[in-house]
Amino acid sequence: MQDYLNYQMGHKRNVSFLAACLYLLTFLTGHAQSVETLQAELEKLSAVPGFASDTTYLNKANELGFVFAESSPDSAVVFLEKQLQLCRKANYEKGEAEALKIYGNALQNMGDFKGSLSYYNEALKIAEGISGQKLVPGILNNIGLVNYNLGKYAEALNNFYEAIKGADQTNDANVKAAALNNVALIYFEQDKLEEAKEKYREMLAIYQEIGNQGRIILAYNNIGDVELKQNNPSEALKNLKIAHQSAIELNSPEFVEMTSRTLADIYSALDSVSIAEDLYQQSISMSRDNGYGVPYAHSLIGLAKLNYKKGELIQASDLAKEGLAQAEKMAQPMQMRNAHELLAKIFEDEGNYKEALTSFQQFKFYNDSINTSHSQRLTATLESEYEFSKKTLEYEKASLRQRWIIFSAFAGLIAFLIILLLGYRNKKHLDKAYHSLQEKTHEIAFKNGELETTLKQLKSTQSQLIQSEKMASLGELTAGIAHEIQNPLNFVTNFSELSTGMIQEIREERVKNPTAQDQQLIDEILSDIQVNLGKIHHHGKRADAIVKGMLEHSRSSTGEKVPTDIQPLINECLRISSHGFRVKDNSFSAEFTTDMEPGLPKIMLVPQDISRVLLNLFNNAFYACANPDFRKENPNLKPQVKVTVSRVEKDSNPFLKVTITDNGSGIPNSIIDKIFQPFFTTKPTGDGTGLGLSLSYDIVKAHGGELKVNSVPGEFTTFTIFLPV
Amino acid sequence: MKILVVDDERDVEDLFRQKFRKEIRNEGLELLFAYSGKEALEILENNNPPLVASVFSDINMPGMSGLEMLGIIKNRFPQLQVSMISAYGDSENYQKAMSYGAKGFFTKPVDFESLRKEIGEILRS
Ligand SMILES: [Mg+2]
Repeated sequence: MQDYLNYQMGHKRNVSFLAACLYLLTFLTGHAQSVETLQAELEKLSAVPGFASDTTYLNKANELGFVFAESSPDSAVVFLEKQLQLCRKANYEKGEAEALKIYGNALQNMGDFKGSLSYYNEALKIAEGISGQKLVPGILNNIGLVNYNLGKYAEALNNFYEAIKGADQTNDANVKAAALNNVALIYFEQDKLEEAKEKYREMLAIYQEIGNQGRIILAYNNIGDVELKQNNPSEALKNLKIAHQSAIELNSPEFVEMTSRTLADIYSALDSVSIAEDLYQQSISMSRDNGYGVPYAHSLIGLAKLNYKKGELIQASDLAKEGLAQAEKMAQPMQMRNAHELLAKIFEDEGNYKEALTSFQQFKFYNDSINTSHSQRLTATLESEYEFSKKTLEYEKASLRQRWIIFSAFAGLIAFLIILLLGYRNKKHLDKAYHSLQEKTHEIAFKNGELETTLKQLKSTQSQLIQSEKMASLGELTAGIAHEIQNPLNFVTNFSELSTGMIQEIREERVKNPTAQDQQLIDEILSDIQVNLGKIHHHGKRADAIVKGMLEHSRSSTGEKVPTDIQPLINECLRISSHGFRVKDNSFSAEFTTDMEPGLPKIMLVPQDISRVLLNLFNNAFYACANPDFRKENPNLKPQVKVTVSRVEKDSNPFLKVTITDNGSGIPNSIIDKIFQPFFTTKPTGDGTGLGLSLSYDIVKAHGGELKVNSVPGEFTTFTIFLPV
Repeated sequence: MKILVVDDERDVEDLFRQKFRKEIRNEGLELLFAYSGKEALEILENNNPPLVASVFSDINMPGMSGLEMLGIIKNRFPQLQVSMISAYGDSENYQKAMSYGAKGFFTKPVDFESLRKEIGEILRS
């Protein structure tokens, strides 16, 4: 991430202004001065009579106002009111424009963007009237920052470009560099990475010429950030090494922390885990000591990721949670997104699927909101670029005309040169159009690639979700399954006890005198024992089948279709589902009836998958019947679930048709179209994942079948499954 | 003396017949079986007052639950003794059964010695 500027400009207003105005400090005073020195100097100047109209005094007062606007904007406003009056009285326009601009700075620092904009505009009006227009580009740049903070990226970009143009004309390197930085930032947010890098390089060259060490570090850091985002960590490393070394030499904690963090991101991308760890640790401790909130969250989450990579789940989880708390405190959607994404993975590895799902949903929420605002900005900025290039063209045309008038005064040779020049310019225009076309093509190719990655991610997410839905539905079924196992086990216990008693009876009989022995009784008992052993065997097998079925349900589906008799599958699922409901609510009872056509053929299906569909639909049917509100409204209605299976022809192909009908509350027409959508649920939070029906739909589709719904609210709901024979 | 046993598991019949072999042979016990609440009510409806001295019923059954059946029986034949047998000995089931007027409550797996005692008492009464 391009943290330093992003954080400063995007999120924390007061800090954002710092980035915008740093250049003003250098350009006003040449060197930083403290409030005390400035106040002392003003004191001295005000001893002179008529000082209020002395421009030296007024300039100095503006310097103090500027420092106030940064440190305590409230008192700056009071101070500047007076200063403005003095400048107006003295008829000192330059001072007035400067004071208005500083006033705007103070308001921007207080978060009053509208107010600051009106002061900047007033300043601009005066500045444009002063010959040389030296103040104009700086004001334009500040106006751009207000628009940026207001989310009007289109206008902001226009302002920055105007500022660059103006700064070129007035030879104001500081303003040009600041505006370049702001343009690069917008390009970076738009994913126009090459362009962003180019602007940062231009900015770097300027600062190198001026010799502003801090800003040089910032430029290298941001270039490295761009390269990291371009998936080129080895190039990024070269730039960051320069930046980090310079930051250490400059002995500035802010820059050392920033470059450590970016270096850590790079080493992490290069899989140099231990170096990255050390650097994150350094960033964390410096951020904590100096109160850099956002970098703190960033590095905690970065370190958590490294721990996760190493398989240190507990540590990763602790760090990610701390990072998340910090990100929430600083209201950082991007970092919150990253933390939730990581936590979802950690919870999944820990087998905590419920938490994993919650975190994943949070991740998705922040991801969507980031993407939405991102695409909105993108659209707005593209529009502005179009406007801007139109304007540039007009500007160039106008200046061309001017040149024509001047040069036409010269003789034929010069005219010939002009023709040459025009030809050259036309070629340049063509080149430019071609270049911008190429740029758009690149952009489309890039977006395409991005979409493909998203698709891949979605696919892997889908498989994760299927697994968690499976575990959730297994939890729902546990009660029903336990009951299913309890009954056969009871029989095993009872019949084995009985048989032991019977053997004792035979023994007692055999002790008797042979003539007194009741042979018929012995035969009877022996045949009972045999029957009992058969029963023990049968119920043992029954319990075995239930356990196997449960394991099969929790296992990932092999996806293999086998010839299956659907009737026993339906019966088993129906039993498990109804038992599950009884256990949850023992006042509940629903009559279920089955009507299955005899002699149905076996069909090819994946038993685990189809039983998931059946369990889902049965559970929904019982859930609908059990709805307490509906039952209260219709006390005489007997809850009923009816299952039918029959053979049908569809488009002259044979199908099995399974219908599941409940006489519950029905599905309102307004939502019936949505029920197969993922995450759609009418159940209270925690009761359902909202994935059951959507997965069922996918499973039936994958079998070449169809899942349909028909419902009359207040009367019934029927789900129909068609499976090809 | 007729006793009606209600359970959706058919093997319960064999189990009871074997367990109470002696009572059946020597003490005049006659066991009737029903596999659902509905079937049990049909058997009881045939005679009023019913010929059955006592009912032992499972709770967890498809269709009508044992508790529901208990309510209906107690409503129609208040004198008839009904005991419940459930795989779940939880207090909620127990209290519900008792409040509906059940005579006894047995948990599965059934302790046949106490069941034998109860049936013995019925036979002697
Ligand atoms: Mg049962």
